[in-house]
Amino acid sequence: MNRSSRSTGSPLADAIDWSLAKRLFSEALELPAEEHDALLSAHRAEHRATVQRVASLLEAHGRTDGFLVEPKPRDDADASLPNRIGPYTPLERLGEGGFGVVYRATQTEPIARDVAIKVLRTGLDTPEVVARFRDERQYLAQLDHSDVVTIFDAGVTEDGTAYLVMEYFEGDPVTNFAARLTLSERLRLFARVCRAVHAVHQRGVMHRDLKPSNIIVHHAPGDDTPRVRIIDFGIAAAVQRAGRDTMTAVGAPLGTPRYASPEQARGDAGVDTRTDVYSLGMILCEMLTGKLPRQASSRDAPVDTQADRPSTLHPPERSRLRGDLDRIVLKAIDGTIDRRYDSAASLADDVGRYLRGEPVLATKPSVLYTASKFVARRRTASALIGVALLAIVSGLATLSIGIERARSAERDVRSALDRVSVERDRADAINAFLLGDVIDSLNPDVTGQPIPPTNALLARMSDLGDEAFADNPATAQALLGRVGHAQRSLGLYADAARSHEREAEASSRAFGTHDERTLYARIDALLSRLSARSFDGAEREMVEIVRLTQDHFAPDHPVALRAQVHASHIAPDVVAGEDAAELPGRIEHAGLAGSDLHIESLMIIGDLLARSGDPRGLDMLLRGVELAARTHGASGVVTLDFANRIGRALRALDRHEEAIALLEESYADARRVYGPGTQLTLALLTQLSLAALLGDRPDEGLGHAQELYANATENTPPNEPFASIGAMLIARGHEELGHYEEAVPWRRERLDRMLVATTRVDEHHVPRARLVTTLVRADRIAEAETEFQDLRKAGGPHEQFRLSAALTLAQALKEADRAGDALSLLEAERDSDAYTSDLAETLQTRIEALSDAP
Amino acid sequence: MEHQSDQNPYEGSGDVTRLLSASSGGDEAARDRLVEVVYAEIHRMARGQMRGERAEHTLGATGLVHETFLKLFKAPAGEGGMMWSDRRAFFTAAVTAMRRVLVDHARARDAQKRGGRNRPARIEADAIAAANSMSSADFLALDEAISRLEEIDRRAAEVVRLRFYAGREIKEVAELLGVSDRTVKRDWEFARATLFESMSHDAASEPEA
Repeated sequence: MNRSSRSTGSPLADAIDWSLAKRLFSEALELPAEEHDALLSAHRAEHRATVQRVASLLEAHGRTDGFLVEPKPRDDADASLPNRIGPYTPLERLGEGGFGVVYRATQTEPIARDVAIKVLRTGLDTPEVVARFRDERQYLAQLDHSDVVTIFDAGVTEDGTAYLVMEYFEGDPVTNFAARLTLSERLRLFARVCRAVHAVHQRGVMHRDLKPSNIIVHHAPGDDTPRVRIIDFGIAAAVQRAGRDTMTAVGAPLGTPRYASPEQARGDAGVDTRTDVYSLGMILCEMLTGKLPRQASSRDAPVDTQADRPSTLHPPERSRLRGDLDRIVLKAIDGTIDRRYDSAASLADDVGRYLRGEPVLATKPSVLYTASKFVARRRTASALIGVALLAIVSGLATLSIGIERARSAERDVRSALDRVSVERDRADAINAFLLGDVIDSLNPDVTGQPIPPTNALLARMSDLGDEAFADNPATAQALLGRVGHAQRSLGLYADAARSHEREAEASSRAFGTHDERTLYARIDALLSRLSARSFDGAEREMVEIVRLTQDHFAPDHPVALRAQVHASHIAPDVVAGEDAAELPGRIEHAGLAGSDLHIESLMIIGDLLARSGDPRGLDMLLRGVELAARTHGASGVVTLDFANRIGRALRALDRHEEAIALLEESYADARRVYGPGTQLTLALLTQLSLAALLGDRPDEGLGHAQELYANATENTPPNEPFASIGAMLIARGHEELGHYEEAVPWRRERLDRMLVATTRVDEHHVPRARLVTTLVRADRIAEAETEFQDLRKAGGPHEQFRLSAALTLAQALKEADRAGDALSLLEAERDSDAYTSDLAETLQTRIEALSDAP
Repeated sequence: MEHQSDQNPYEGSGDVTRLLSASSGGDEAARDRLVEVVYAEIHRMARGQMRGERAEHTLGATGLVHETFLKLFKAPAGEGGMMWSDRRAFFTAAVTAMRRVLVDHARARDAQKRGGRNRPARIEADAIAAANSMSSADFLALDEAISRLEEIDRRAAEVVRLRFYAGREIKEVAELLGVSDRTVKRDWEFARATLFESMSHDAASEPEA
């Protein structure tokens, strides 16, 4: 046997630097052949043997044409195109995803178009999954968001293969597409993706397999703006519903490992929408840097280590992601679920803040760890922190107070403790030094950071309350309850909701699920969520709480009464009219006269009755405001809230002058004490504007509306919904003054803001109808017709507005000598079946009038 | 690779899921037993794939491994499934099992006759297809060349084995090894060049038959 120096004996004997060899080899392959020599000569002097080896490898590589090549597709049934899949004709095989093969196909009925069909892979097509698939089709058809791919159809072929049909498009994975964009464009694109994901989350569907290849960006023909398409949403849902057997049936369990969250990798049962947030975080990093963050531990190691250590980004990427972006990514991919953004929308919001140059919510992990470590060591005295901060918050005007004043608050805090409903012995066990520790962690001299603004402070305390007192739920409950109330009074509703929810959890653990403290917390959480305009499941939760109070407490127990009070407006089916009206009286007779509950009931029930025109409502409100002024002061938040509702009640009774007088004073108060941009102040101004507009003072009303809009939009982000309401009131003001032309752009703005704020079509309906009417009055008939067509496409309630728009438009058409068009428009409305019978009658009358007229 | 099984605590165990997680946790006895189990399946199936027996319906290494996976791990509904991190253990075992099947098969055949210049023009990156198209001696030479590659670049050898013996695509290999697609591609090309060179030398160094 020949043995040459290039024999295949162990190459190690030739002392070759193989890592260099491989590197040079790979680099050379990316260059044209002529440049190989230049590349190699650079190293030849120092690494002769290695370079020689590389040269021969390169030469060999040039001859590897037939060696270890891609295997031919096997010519059994799987590799070739099936003739038909259900009613569709496959044209080409597009590729293979985690769930099966995807084909491009054509559809001929009911319309001719290209579709993409995904055929479920064998192993997934168990009867259970297929059955679920069919159920899902209905469900998925309702996932109508422009950024989520539309599912057209789902079915099963004769031989039992399940398939899913969706729209066909071609595009790039979002990470590839992002490579051509500037940084802010990438961030905007990402925020869009997050909002789409969030919209689907709100319908209860998680994706669970988000990755760049599932988020496609493409250009529709003739369109400059890119369109985003998220795919595989429904499939993940369908498969997920079919049960865990799908994990084992195929060699590709849900979740692509690089983008899957730690809890997914562990196979935890309790994955929720924050799992998708994790994947989004990974995708964001990749969109910005082209790479994924390297975790501190490898994915194959036991995954617990991921949760313990804060993950770090690989250094080269870090230079690209500066400061806040870095932190946003880290917060999204935090191994501990609770530390992540709690929704895709929150993630999008923080990205938005970054784009606007505002501080982001994602904070440096280290401060939180430090503080929590302090607190964890001393289990007691938690209530002190909460109360201390409350004292700081409520007792002192701003937080640029200086540490000395904060320390003197300690004395106030001790006395404040006596007023707080914390047990005596806990109060005695308070460790005064603890307060010092916490303050030190906030001390700018120590941390080098400015004292964070109030809301961040409270949020952090909320986090602390949760983490540090996992072992001491009773104290956690007290702390979190206080924090939640503070947040709520500052208008931080989403934060308050979370604090109260955790409060409820802690309370549940400490005292039981039926304990009144738990139920109070649940009510507070629900109210906060409603204030944060998150309405899903509210009624159900309310009913559940009422049921629990009825099961476990006497009918006149405060917690049962409180539940009833709030059920009257959240779940009115449960608390019938007269029962609701009696509640304040019952509370008074239960020995709770003048209490917070009493005041609360007067406000809620009074408002409820006033809105339905019942004069008792106003009486209750007046009674309530008196009590509130006594307890909370004339300029207290509660007092001014009452004033707001009284103003509204007066308006409803056409007592506009009184309403205006009251509201002017209250607004001035609120503005002085709380500032022009706060919720309460804006709410009062809204009522004032309305009262003036409807009370025959349109100039004033318009002026107030303009002020409202200006105040609401002064800061970024603008205060919605007040900016939107402001726009609407300005429009109304102009209309009242007969200046329709000026009103049009404001009606448009109102509609635009509504379109952005909500994807619920029925909420766009009214603004659009109003726009139509205003356009008609401004003599812009053609535009009105266009808008009316849009209006027709969406169904929904509020038909009286649609009818009004239709009638106004028809009238204008008739006056423009287009009676024929007017008639066909109204007839089309009649045929559309959109109206209830009494409205339909009005419509019919009008049609007849039109037909009869010359 | 071969252990005495009289000491193996998993002997006779059919609980593949348990074997899998123990194996990925580093338990060698579990790993060995896992290979046994996987081997039994693959061997049974592969027999029908080799040249001369029902050749018209070959699945290739990809299909075979896939079918093995389904067979072994399709649990009744409601039971826990394989953890993602255990996939690598499975495919490693599958590679070992597949190798054993094919190498044994090649050795059992007439290993004297060498291909030399009659080496086929096209060798697919699929062990079963390759074994069917090459002479046994050449197949063994290739397997040996991969072992030598392992000495200079362990990861590249693993890439080759996952592709060649377990039929994994580049993307899947990247996921299993926790590296990027690009890294896998680079490893693959490097390996091809090295292995090809190795095989050419073998051919050149043989006396003409």
